[in-house]
Amino acid sequence: MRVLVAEDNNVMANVIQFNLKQAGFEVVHAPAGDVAWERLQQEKFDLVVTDFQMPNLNGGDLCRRIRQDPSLRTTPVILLTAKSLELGEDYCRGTLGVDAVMMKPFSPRSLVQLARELVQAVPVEENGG
Amino acid sequence: MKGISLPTSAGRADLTRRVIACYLAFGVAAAICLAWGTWQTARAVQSASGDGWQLFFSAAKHGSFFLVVALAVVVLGVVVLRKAVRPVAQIESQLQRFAGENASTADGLLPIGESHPVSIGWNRLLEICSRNASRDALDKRLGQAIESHRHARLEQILNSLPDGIAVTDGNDRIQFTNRALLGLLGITDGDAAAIGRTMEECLNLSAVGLGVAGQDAAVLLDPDQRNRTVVVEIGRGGDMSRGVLRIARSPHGSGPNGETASHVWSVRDVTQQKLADQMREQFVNAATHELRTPLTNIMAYAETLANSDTMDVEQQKSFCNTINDEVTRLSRFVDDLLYLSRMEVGSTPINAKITSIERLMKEVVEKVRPMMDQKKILLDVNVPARLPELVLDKDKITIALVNLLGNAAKYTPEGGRVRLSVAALERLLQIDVEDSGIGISVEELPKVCEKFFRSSDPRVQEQTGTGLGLSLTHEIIRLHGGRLTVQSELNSGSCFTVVLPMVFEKGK
Repeated sequence: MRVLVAEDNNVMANVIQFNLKQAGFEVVHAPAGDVAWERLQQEKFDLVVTDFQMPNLNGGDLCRRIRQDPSLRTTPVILLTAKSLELGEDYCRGTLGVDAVMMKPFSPRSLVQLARELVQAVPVEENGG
Repeated sequence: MKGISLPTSAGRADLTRRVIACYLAFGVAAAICLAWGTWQTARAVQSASGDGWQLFFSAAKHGSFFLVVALAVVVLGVVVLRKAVRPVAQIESQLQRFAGENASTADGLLPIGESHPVSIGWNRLLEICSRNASRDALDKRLGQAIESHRHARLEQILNSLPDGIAVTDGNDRIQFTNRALLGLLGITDGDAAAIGRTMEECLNLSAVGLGVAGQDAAVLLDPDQRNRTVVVEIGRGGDMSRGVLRIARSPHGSGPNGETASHVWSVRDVTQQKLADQMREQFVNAATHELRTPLTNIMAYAETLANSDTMDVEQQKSFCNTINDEVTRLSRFVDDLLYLSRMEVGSTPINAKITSIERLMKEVVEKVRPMMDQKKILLDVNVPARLPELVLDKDKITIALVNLLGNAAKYTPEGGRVRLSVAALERLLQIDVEDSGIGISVEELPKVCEKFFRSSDPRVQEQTGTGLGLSLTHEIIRLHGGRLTVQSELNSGSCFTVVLPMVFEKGK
């Protein structure tokens, strides 16, 4: 299972990577939104974990692009944000189309659990793997 | 009521008696005359002889004399009587006219020029009336004077208010404005320019459209709100970017059909308050973000450490170090924030002492040397040998310079160059911190000293920082009466220049 972690804060990205790897995921780190978008275009991922505040392309715009792309539409997305109070759950789920929102500070164990649940719940596509 | 003698009963009796006496005297005289004449005529006719014609002529001769005398007596009586009742007649005619005119003052009544007690009484009465009338007029004038004084005082009070006050009539036309209102509405040619216009015109609501003036502005034009007190905030001159006016409109008095007769408006400039609110909100947002980031990291690392069984010792150490770094960052942020806010409110005074600039520079360089060495940055220190001793707060200036040099090290790529140069100009000490770092874009250059500002450049984002260092430095220099300026070019480097006034003796 491949996970793309889009997070500009390296310290944060390291600990997310560590936890997901421990749980058996293969993790790719993108330090900015635009880098993450490029990787998504080129490779196949089973899950995207993204921060909201990022340079060049922020997490919100990245989520929108993912949902508008026919080949990425079903890929589960977890949004990590310190702004969940300001943004609101409805906005994140409805407008941005993310599958789950985790408010910072968050527990890495819950993130891993959420990642497992989302990856298992994805309907298996005919050509997907 | 001294000297007033009203037409008394004695006076009336006097007039009546005179009239009766006149009648009696002249009537009796005329009667005697007629009787005497008739007797004489009868005697003359008896003693006369002759025919009828002769008798007739003799009677006529004697009788006509007495008739003339009697008539003369009656005429005299009429003249005397007329003279006796003339003042009464004059008064009567005046009173009749007065009653017909339905007048409110006694101005139309005239004194009469007779020496009769009735006319004297009448004249006195008129005199009292006119005296009372002039006293009333005086009272009225005095009342007006007091009223206008009070009015002027009220106007003075209203003019001294910092809030703008206006009164509009039932047709929304301005009847009164105070000076502050004219200032707030930008009317420079006196209140005459506002009187008769509507507040909507003066606030420029219709000209620019309500959208620009602020969402609330429409409430002012809503007829349903006319009888209620309405408070709205709108843009100055209809434009929010030119400042914010808080406008309160209250109904005042009511017309015959219960409609609002007038409105009292009060207008206050709340731009500063709005800016302060906005700044506070920005501050809270930025501060919470800066607090949340290290907290998130600390929580994630601590939980991972606690839950992971397969971690090797090296990894555990590295995680602990990360937590330590984040805690340091958090505590530095809190310290900086507290320090900066204390300096801003003036509760941390500048503790200025005579300080050797050379020693100060040496200490600063010692503090930043490890950072420079770590990134293999060449630190070029250019401090002249004979620098004066100056009065300044050594600790704070050290913080400021370490901040500038620390930034230079942070944002200069490995193997780069940083130069610290000091020069004593005439009455000024100039310190330059120049680097060959990533530089600052033209758009971001004016914001670098703003609290919590951090460049959106990814090369800046990947470094830890609180966004407080430069504001702190700026504040320290400002408190020393100096100036911090920056020149920079993106991708080629920045130069921060500190200019401090040279103070050689304490208290000067």
